[in-house]
Order: sequence, then structure tokens, then C-alpha cells
Amino acid sequence: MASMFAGTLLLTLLLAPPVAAQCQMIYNVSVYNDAAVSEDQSMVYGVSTTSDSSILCTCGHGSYETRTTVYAPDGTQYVAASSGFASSLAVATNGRLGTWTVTGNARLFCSCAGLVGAGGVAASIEVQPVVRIQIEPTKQQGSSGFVLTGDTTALTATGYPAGGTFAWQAGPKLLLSGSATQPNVVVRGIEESSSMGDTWVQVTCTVGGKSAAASIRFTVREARRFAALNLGGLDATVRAPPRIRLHHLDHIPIPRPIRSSHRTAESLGNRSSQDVGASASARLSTHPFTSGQHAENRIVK
Amino acid sequence: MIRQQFFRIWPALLCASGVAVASQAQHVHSAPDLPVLVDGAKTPDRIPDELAYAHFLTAVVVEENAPEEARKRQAALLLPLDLEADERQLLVTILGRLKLRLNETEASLRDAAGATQDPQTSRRIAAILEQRKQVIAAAVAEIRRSFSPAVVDRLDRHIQNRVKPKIVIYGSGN
Repeated sequence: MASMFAGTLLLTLLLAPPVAAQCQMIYNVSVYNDAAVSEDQSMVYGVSTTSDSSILCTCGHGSYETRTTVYAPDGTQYVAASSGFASSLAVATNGRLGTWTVTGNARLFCSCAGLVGAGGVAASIEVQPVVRIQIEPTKQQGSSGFVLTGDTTALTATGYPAGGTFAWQAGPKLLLSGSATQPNVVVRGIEESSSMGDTWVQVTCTVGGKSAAASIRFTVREARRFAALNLGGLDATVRAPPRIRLHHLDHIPIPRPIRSSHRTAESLGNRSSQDVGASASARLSTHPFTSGQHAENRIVK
Repeated sequence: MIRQQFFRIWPALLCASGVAVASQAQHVHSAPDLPVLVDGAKTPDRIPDELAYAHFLTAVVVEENAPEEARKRQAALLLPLDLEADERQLLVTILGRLKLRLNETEASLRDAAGATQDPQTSRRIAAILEQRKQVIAAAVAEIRRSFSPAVVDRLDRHIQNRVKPKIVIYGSGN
């Protein structure tokens, strides 16, 4: 009985006039949702866009509306709706770390069917603490830093959101000076690097129980050339000598230990001088103490 | 059993005969929410490149003299592209021009949608929607011409890996 009915129906349908030759309205509406967070993690942006690739036939589409909803990690909901194909929303994170979700909906009016909706797909973004290291401007090599042996380079950590705590660490050949829990520290080079960027500095920032770390490669460099700049004459660059002597004349003659057995005749004069180069020096004596002056030798490789 | 078979073959019969279910209204359904045709999160390869670019550019277009908040949103959305300052400025300029042209098409669409519904209006709306696609395609072509292959490659990868999975196509048929 049923098979007879189905057979009759099939025959009826096959013999029916070809109404399919008429244009058939086919919906094709797409929705894109995305989320972004500002570099300083202070704002979350939700955006939704709509595209209509429907085959309209004799129908008309219009009154497009796109709606964006942003859900904060604490459950707070923010909604924005705009006429047209796009809608967006900016929400201040106010330190709310975690997963932010964005959903979007499209709505349009079809002259044949009335209001039609689509959407709801979610996009999410994580708002996490972020920390960045700023290197003293003259001590940068690309994104890495450098320090001269015996010298220091200043570093500053900036954490987002604000109010975090910091913990610095330095790799081999470097020594941290100052508090390792403050945003500002200096690193001292204690041994020349054997290759570029063979050591590192890292900082960890903790906010609201969540942590982020940043690290940079570091090179400890040895000065091999000196530049004499802006001294009133011609600027010059010379090869660094094997030994640098710094001579100071104290005003109060107090016996002080000689830090080096090398002194120069010139250093006995009533002036302070910097003597560069071993050839200009004359070996005098090796008194354990002297008064009124002292000298420093620094061996440059 | 036979009844179950009947219900199974019924849709197939309709398709075979080419009869539209709602040939009078010319809509396949009238439900307020359209069903999912393609979920980009599951099958991103089924999202056409052209469509993904259209969505992304619509999301990031901002007039060059737009309020600061809009420009900051744009900057945040462009951040994953990792552009140099001059590259970013060039893209912002192209997007600013695109926004103006898209505004024009949307204004035309509003005018057309407000008119009396007849076949001519439908054709006009379809033409405007097509024009909108062409405007976006021209902007994509300009971006491809203006940037280095490395930047274009980064943008393509962003579209494939980030944008397509966040697109869902809804509709009544392919």
C-alpha cells in the first residue's frame, strides 16, 4: 500500500511542471568574529562582520545589522550593534586577566521572508600579563643588549597591567646590580663574551597570580677602539692601547695604597690626566704607598 | 519500516524533481536563524579566500581621520601582521580609502533597500552587493601590489590561520 503511494507520488513529481526553472532564493550569509587586545593589555576589542552572498532572485535584502557581544572573564557582558556589515566594541580590561570571548550576530530583512538572523560563533582571546625590557638606548644591538667589561648597562622592565612585581635574572658573564625585584636594574659585564649574544637577562612579572617573562640576549664586549669626539678638534678614532692609565691628583696628601706598580713622570705634576699608551709611561718605583696621587692601570685585550 | 523509507526518500524526490519547497515565497525556510553551512573552525579550507579577505578587511577598515578609539582597534587587529611602521602606515592609507568606498556602497544599499520591492530593486541590490565585493577585491589587489612578497605572505597566512577559522557561513544551500 505504502509502496504504491510512494510510486504514485514519484510519478506525480516527475510529471509536474518544471517550477525549478524559476529562480530560487538561496541564503548565503557569513559572519566573522574576532578579538584583539591592545599592546599594553588595557583594552579588548571585539569585532564582527557580515557578508551576504545570497542569490536574491526576486527578493531584496536590506536593513543589515551586525551585533557584537564581548564577555569578560568575570562574566560581564558588553553589547554593541551597528547598522551595516560591521560592528565593534572596545572594553577596558581593568586588570581582568583570562579569557575574553566575542560573539557576533547578523540580522537582515528579506523582502520575501522578513527578518533573518545568523551568527553566534565565538572568538576568544587571552589577556595575560605582558612584560617588556627596555635597554639603555646606547647599549642596544637590534633587540639585544651589550655591556662593556667592568661597565654597566641600565635596564627597565615595563609590565602590563600595571602593579606587578618583578624578578630579574642574569646569565653568565653578567652581574645584576641593585634590587632584582625592582623594575629598574643595571647589569655589569664581568667577562668578555666568546660569541655575540652568548648570555642573557630575563625578567618575570607577576600580576594577579599570573606571570609573564621576557628575556633578551646580551653580549659582554671589550673596548678595542676609542673615539675622541666633540673635543673641539677633529674627531678621531684610535686603536685601544693594551693598557690605560688614569692619573688623579688628590688635594689632600693622604697615604693611599698604590693599585699598580706602573706610574708615570707626568702623573707627579699638579694636574689630573689620562695617559693612554704604555710607550708614554716610564717605570719609576714600586712604593707600597704614595701621597698626593695614585694611578690605575687597566689592561685592554 | 516502509514509512521510514518514505520519509528518507521524500527529500531526495523533491530534489530530483527540482521542486522548490516554498516556490511561492521563493525562500527555502522562514526560520529566523539560518543553519550553519560551513564552520570555518572545522573546515577552514571550505571558506573561500575572497570571502575571508572581505571579512578581514571589513573588520580593519577605518577612515584615516577616524576617532582615536577606532584607530587603536585597527592597530590591535593589525598587530599580528607584525608590520614595520612604514608598512603599517601604507596599509592604513589603503584601508582608509577602502572604508570611504565601502561607505558609498552601504549608502547605495540603504537607498535601494528602502525602495519599493520589485524585481528591479532586487537586481539593484544584487548589483550593489556585487560592487561591494569588487571594491574589496580591488583593495586586495592593491595590497598585493604595494607590499613585499614577505608581507603579502604574512597576510595570507593570517587569513588562512586566523581569519578563516573564525568565519561561519550560514544559509539554505550551497
